[in-house]
Amino acid sequence: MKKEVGSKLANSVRQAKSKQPTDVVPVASEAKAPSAPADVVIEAQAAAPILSSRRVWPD
Amino acid sequence: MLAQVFSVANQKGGTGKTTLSMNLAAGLSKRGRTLIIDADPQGSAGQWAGLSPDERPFPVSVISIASNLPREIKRMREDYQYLVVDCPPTLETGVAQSAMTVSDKVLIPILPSPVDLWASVRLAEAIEQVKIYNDELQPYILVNQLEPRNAMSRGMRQALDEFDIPALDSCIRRRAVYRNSALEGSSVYCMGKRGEPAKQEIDALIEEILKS
Repeated sequence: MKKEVGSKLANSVRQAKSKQPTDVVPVASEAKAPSAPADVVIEAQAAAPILSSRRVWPD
Repeated sequence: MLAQVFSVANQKGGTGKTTLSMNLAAGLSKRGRTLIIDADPQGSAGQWAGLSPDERPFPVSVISIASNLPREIKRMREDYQYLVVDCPPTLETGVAQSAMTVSDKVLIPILPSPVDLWASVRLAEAIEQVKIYNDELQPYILVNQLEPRNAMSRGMRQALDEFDIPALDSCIRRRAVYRNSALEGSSVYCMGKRGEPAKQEIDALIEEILKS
């Protein structure tokens, strides 16, 4: 059973690879466009004081 | 010494990226100063940490970065020993790829299901393209929510051999304590006895990725 399922999964991955389009993935576009000013958002959620500027390490 | 940067990425949603990021970071924080970078606009990592009670804050700070991720990560490398980047569940924006351009390792959590395997084929291609910019990037597949008695779970190793990306020996089992730790704004390290098996598997994962 294990071998059968494993084989089926492996075959399905091979099929997915063979059908894979090659031109759909943007190549690190953000990494190549560093011209915008740094914009570090300190609050992950405007309503929730999540951040660690208030959660400082014990050290 | 500059921080090691671990990105947790998969363009498919629901693979456990945030759960892995939070618990991985909690474990790493026992070894050195750690920061979680929430690169997912959904802000789940921040929400998770925000649920922690004031008397027991989440052990790792979470910072959300909206843009210029590579530059900010490079800057933060000087202040921490470990950075964990929780990537968004998409490749379309380029954010996950940009995180990977400045990462040492990328962990790809995959659920034991055909759909998750197929979706990861595309991510593997994206990683190959990222390696043009960061040829030292080490990607690893991590089987998440493994159910050892389930035939699909047991067949995963064979399927993962089809990928050019190595799969870690460590795996994360499907355990309610991971979900419960999110609800409590905590990690499996703070869940007492019921978190012990999960804690052990996160520790084993950390040992493996730090050695690899």
